[in-house]
Amino acid sequence: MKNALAKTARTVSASLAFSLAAETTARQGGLFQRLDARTKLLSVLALVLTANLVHQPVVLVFLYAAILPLAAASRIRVRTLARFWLGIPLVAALIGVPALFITPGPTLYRLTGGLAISATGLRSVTLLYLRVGTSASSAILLALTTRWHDLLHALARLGMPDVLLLALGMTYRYIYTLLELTNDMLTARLSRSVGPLSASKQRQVQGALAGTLLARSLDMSGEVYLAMRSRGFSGRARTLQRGRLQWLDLVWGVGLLVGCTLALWMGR
Amino acid sequence: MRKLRMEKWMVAYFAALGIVLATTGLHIPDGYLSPVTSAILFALVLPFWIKGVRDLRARVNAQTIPLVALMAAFSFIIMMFNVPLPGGTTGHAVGAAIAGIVLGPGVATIAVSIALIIQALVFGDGGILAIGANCFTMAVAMPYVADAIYRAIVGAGEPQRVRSLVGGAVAGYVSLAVAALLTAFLFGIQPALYTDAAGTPLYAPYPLSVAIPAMMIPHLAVACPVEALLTVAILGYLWSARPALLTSQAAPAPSGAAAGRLTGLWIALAALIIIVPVGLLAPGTAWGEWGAHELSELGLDFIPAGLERLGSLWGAPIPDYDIPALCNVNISYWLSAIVGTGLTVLVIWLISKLVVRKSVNEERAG
Amino acid sequence: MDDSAELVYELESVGFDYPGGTTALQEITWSVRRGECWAVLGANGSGKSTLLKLLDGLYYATFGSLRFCGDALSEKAFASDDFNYAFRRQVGFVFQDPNVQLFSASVLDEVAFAPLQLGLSDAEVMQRVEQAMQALEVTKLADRPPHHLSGGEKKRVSIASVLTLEPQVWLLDEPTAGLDPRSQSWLVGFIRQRHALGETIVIATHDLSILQQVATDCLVFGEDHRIAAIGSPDDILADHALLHACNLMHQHPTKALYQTHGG
Repeated sequence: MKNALAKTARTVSASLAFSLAAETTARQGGLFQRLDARTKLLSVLALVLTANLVHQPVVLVFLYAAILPLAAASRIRVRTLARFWLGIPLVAALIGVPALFITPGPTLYRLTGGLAISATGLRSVTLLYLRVGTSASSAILLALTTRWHDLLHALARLGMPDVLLLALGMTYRYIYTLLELTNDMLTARLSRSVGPLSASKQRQVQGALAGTLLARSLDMSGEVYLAMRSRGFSGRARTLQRGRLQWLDLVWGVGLLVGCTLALWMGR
Repeated sequence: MRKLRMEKWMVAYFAALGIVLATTGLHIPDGYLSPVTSAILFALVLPFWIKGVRDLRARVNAQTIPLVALMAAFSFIIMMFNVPLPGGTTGHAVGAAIAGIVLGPGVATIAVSIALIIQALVFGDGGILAIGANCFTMAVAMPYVADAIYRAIVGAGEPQRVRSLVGGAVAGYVSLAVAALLTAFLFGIQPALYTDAAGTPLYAPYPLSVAIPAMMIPHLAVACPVEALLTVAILGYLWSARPALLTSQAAPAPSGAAAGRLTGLWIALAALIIIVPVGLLAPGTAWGEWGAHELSELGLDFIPAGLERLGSLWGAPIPDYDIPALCNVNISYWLSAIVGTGLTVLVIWLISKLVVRKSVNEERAG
Repeated sequence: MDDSAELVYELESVGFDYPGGTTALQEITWSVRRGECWAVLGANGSGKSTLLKLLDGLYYATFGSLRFCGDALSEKAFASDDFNYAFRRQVGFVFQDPNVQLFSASVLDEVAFAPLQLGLSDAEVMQRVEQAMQALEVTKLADRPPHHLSGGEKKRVSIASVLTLEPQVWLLDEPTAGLDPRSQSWLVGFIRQRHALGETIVIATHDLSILQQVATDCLVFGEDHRIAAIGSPDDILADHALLHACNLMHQHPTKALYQTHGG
């Protein structure tokens, strides 16, 4: 059997890499990078909502295809995009395969062995594929072109309470610290193990790792609280205001609104 | 309408696919649930978020923020752990069971929710509209169920190691099974509620009769054991390295006595919230076809009777479950469901207030 | 040092027990005057970090009395917002672990945290932030998340985040731990510069080289959590028996003088 510890290590380092890659993409001067985070957040919400409200596959195809030029203009790497634009909806399509045959409706194509693809089944799976693909790749447009603190700022401007913002901001920041810690502990453990570990031994190691992480997290939260208190924190949070809407945001926003309305109207 | 039923080849197909999917976690992407379902789930999670924040405020005041942040970061990392199973596969755990047990369900709800929100917004895992649904299954149902089961098995008084490990295993297994069942339920109601004129399912295409076994078989076989094993492994470590986290009432976020007593009530609330819409929809709708018969085939025939009773109970304020002004039947059903659920929440909230006051008075008196 | 200078800290028989009963400090009687630069020496676990936290009003003395500029530092005193803010504006604490010190989403947010919490106007906050970032040469890092910084950069940002308080008293916990030699010498320069401005500095360390380079006075902790010695850096460094007894020096004294022992 494969080494589960090594798998965990791969997942962890992949996340670290993703976070760094997102940081790099967000620094480049593409279309989405130029937009204010508020505009982006609302745009992506509008896109996802539209993709989930439209009922016509043809209209969804346009939305789904529109992601590609947007991603290209925002300098998103082809590989990352492929995972979200193709990979995730393909899984949805795979899940949907039996629906092709069992959804009641007029028969479209008869296979051998008594199976028949129904028109409604095909339409349903197509809708699922397009919805999932459009939603997942819109979300990734936001994630890859927006620095986390800009996104937090957008949430603040959109009315999220400061206390929650502070908690969200700190979580993301400490996810990174804990990822690094996990990575170090796993690397140390893997470099010490000669030959394959038994499944039960691996579970024991993972239990110890997770337990250490939990204990460290609890300890660290106490220390971080002291560090915040030392700099004047007494439970009330206040965050810096910044970021300004520009002409581009307005032009983009109006364009998107027209596009989405059109899609909703045509795709009823 | 043709009856939908699992055929043999589908069982094999879903078993193979499901085992792959069940090992990658329970995150619902966008596209599987209708925006209306997503909105309703946000509304359902809201009271638990409020309760979670209240729990935190009551316990640790200003220290709340770093505590929640670090616990959320921990939940995030734990979702990456790949746990080996006897027999050769590995699977991802959700980690919400251990969070519920150690932190108390209220705090765990907030921590796991923040982790899920960051996964959706920053890492593209799980949908944005589906945040409410994902939080409901993994951040609310799991910790509450896990905590209740764990406490029931460990019993009152100082917990003992063996009982605690057994409790952790059962809590991990069952809580994830409940979360998977809720997810299957959300998928399964989509084709009954949202189809176009030709009968095309607009979102997740499978009815409950397919969605439930397709989700549950691989989860019960793979993902639930993973959650159980991880929960036990972490508890085992904590017993040897940090027993204070499991025994002492002064642990960073213990549930207070009143909160513990309320846990059962909140689970009942969660169950009601799920059952109420079913109760409203079950009798005499397109759903009826699915209803009793198919459920009994799945060995779940005890549910519909209760549903029917509940249905008439909750139907009272809105006769015939129909609001004439709205021609769309689905919308009026769901509106009824929302009103019903809202009333349920209100009633439970009032009861919980009374119980707390009463128990506080009892403590004072005694 | 000038004995007529104003007393900043006065400690009388201060003791501290952690909840659960572990003793961290016993019978500490000590005082710090304005403009002094103290090195608090001690092995790991001897209580020097705890002492700094007491001096910063993060923990409260279990026994004895601790005064800052004449006011007792007690839980009751800090319950008053006015006292809390007044104190926090005067005293800055740089934590040893940058992962603890730097908790914000970006460097800019981090450096702005203290002045925002202390209720300064947005314009004043930005002015302080810009000054501090320039002084520590971290302006170009403003938009970066703290977790993507190098060790030396993290220390600079940590200090910038405290500098925006414009504190009169600096408490530094193991400031040189984990720094490369260039960052270490930059840090020594920074401490000298603050000292030259007349600010009061207390450094907890087991790095004996710091003692020679910046400290005016020195307090040594024994492993029994009591004061083992107080004196000038030269006297303390000459007393090898004391340094051995307090686990600050091992078998090769000449080498130990110039290196930090493992974390």
